[in-house]
Amino acid sequence: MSDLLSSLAASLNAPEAIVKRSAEARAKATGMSVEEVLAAWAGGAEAVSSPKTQVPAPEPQVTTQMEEAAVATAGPQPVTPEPALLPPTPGPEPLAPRLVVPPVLAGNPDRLGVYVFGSIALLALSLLLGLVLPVISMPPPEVRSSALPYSDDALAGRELYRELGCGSCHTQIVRALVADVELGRVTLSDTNQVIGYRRIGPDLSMIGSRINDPLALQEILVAGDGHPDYSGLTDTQLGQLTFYLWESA
Amino acid sequence: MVVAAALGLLTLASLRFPSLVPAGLSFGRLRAMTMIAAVLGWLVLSVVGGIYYILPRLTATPLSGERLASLGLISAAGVDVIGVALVGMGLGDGGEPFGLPWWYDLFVLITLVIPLVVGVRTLTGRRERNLYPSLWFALGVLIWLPVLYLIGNLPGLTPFGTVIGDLFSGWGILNVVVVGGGTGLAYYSLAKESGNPLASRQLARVGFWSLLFGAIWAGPAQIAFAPLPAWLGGVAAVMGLALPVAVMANATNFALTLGPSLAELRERPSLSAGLVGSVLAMIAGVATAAAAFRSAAALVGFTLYWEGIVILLVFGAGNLLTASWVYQALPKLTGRELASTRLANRHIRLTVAGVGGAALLLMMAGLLTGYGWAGGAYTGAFANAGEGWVQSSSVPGLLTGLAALAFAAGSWGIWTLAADVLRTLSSGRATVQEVLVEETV
Repeated sequence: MSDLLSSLAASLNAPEAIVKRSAEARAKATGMSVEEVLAAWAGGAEAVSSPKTQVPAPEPQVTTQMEEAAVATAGPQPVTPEPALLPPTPGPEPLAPRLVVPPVLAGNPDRLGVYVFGSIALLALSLLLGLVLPVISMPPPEVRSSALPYSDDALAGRELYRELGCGSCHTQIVRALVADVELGRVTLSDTNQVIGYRRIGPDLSMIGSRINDPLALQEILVAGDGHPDYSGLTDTQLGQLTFYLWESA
Repeated sequence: MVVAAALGLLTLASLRFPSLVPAGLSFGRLRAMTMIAAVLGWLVLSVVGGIYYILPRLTATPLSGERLASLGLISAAGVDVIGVALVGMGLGDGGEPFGLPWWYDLFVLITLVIPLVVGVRTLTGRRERNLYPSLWFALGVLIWLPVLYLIGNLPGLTPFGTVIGDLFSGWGILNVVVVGGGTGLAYYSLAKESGNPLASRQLARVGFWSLLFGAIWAGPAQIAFAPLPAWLGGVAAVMGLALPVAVMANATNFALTLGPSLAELRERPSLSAGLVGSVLAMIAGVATAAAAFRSAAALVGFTLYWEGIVILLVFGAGNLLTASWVYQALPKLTGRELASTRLANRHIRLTVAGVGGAALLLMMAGLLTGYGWAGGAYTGAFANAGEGWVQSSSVPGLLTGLAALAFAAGSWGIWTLAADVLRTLSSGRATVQEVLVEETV
C-alpha cells in the first residue's frame, strides 16, 4: 500500500498522511478497504460503494478541509460523466474532464439547526435592538414640535426631493451638537422632513429662513455653481421643490 | 463589475466636480446606480455563484433545484441591469442604498429568495455530515440577505424609521453578504489552493458569530445625536465591537492557514486575493467600530468618512474576497488555466493602492470636515446649496478630488480582473476541468 500511497501523494502534490487519512475516511464511509480506495483514486480498481451508513470517526477538525481537498482532486470515479461545460469561444481544446466525487467524511457532525436558528436569532436580535425598539421608543416631543405645516405644493415637492435623491447630499436634521448649533432649532423625533444621509452640501432643514426669496432658491436648483443641474424639471416640479425648501423655515 | 467600477468612478468624480455629470443625474442617483451594479449585480451574484459552487462540493449532494438556481442567477442579472436603468431614468424612490421603486423591490426580493430555497434544500439533504466553515457563512448570507433587503424597503415608516431601516439594511448587506459571503468563499479557496488544512475551526467560529453580532451597528452610529433613544448609542458602540473581532479572527485564520504558503502569494493570486481582501475587511471593521463611539460619531457623522468605509468594503474587501474564489474555481469550471497571473497580481495591487487609497483619502476628508464643523466652520452662513463644504473648503475638497483619482487606479484594477476572466474563457491554456458527479450509493 505504501508504494501506491506514495505515488498517489506525489501525483496529488499532497502529504502522504493527509492522503492516507482521506482514504481511511472514504473507506469508512463507503465500506471499502483503504487499498481499494487508493487503487480507485489512482485510476485502477473499480470503487464500488456500499450502502453502509456513515460512522462518525474522531477526525481532527482542523484537517477536514484538507481531506476534502485531497478527495476532491483524487481522480476518476466509476460514474457516468456529465457533459462538460465548455466556453463557446474558440481556443485550445480542453483536456478530458476530471470527474470529482464530493467528499463524504466521517468527521464530527455539526448540527445544521444551530447555524440556522443562530443566524435567525441574531438577525431577530439586531432587528429588535437596531430598528424596532429605536423606532417605537423614540422620545416624543413635549413642548414644541418639529413637524412643519407644509402646503400641498410643498408636500408634492417633498416627494420630488425624496425621489431625486437630494437626501444623499443634504440633511434636514439639526443635532444637539456644537457643529450644528448655528443651523437652527434641534430637530425632534416627529419631524416630517427628509432626514438625509450625509452633508456634501449644506443642511436644508431651515433653508427657508436663510434664503427667504423663492426665486433665489430656484436659481440655485437650475444654475447653482457646484450644484447638479435640475433644469430638466418641469416648471411645476421646480415650483413644488422650491416651495418645499422655502417652507422649511 | 466593469459597469460598477465605471459608475463608482463617475460617482466619486461627481462629488468634487458636480458639473461633470449629465443634467438630471446627481451624486445621489449615481450612488444608487453604483450600489445596484456593484453590490447586487456584481458581489451578490459572485457570492451566490460561489455558494452554488461550494455547496455540492462540501455537502456531497447535488445542488437541489439546479434549474431554479440558474434561472435565479440569470433573472437576478437582468433585474439588476434594469434596476440601474430605472434609477438612472429618475424612476427610483431616492432611498439608500439602492433607491429602487417599491414595486421593483418585489422582483429583486424574489431573486434573493431563490438562493435561500436552493441552499437550504441542498443543505438539508446533505450526505456529508460535517459542516465546513464555508457553509456557515453561506447559510448566514442566504438567510440574512432577503430579510435585510426587505427591511431596507419597508413602506410607511416615519422619516427617522426610514433612515434607520435604510442604514440597517445597507450595512447589514455590506458586512454580512459582501464581507461574510466573500470570507466564506475564501475559507474554501484558500484551503483548496494552498493544500493546507484550516488552521483553526474555533477562530472561524468566532469570526462567523461575531460578524452576525456586529453587522448592522454602523447605521445607528452614522446618525448619532439624532433624537433617538439614548441607550441606542451605547448599544451600537458595544455591539459594534464584535465587527473588528470578527474580521480580525478571519484574517488571522487565513494567515495561519496559509502558513508556509505565504511565500507563494505572488504565484497564487487566489491566495493573495483572499488574504489581502481579509486585511482590507479588517481595516474597514476597525474603522467602523472606532467611529461608533459617541465622541467619534459626533465628529464623523454625515461626513465622507462613512463613504470611505463603504468603498473599502465594496470595491476593496468584497472585490478581493470574491476574486479569491474566482481565481481558484475558474480553471476547474472551464478547463482553462488562468490566462495571466501577472494580470491577477496587477488587479490585486491596483485594488490595494487605488481603492485603499481612495478610502483612506475619503476618511481623512471626513475627519477634517468633522473637525471643521466642530470648530464652527460649518454654520448657517453656508446658505447656498452650491456652497457645500466639500466644494468650498480647500483641503477636504482636494482630498476628495485625489480620492477620485486614486479610485481610477482601483477601477483599472477591477477592469484588469474582468479582462483576465474574459481572456481565460477565450484563450486560456487547456487544463483539467472538474466535472462534479454523484457517487453511486
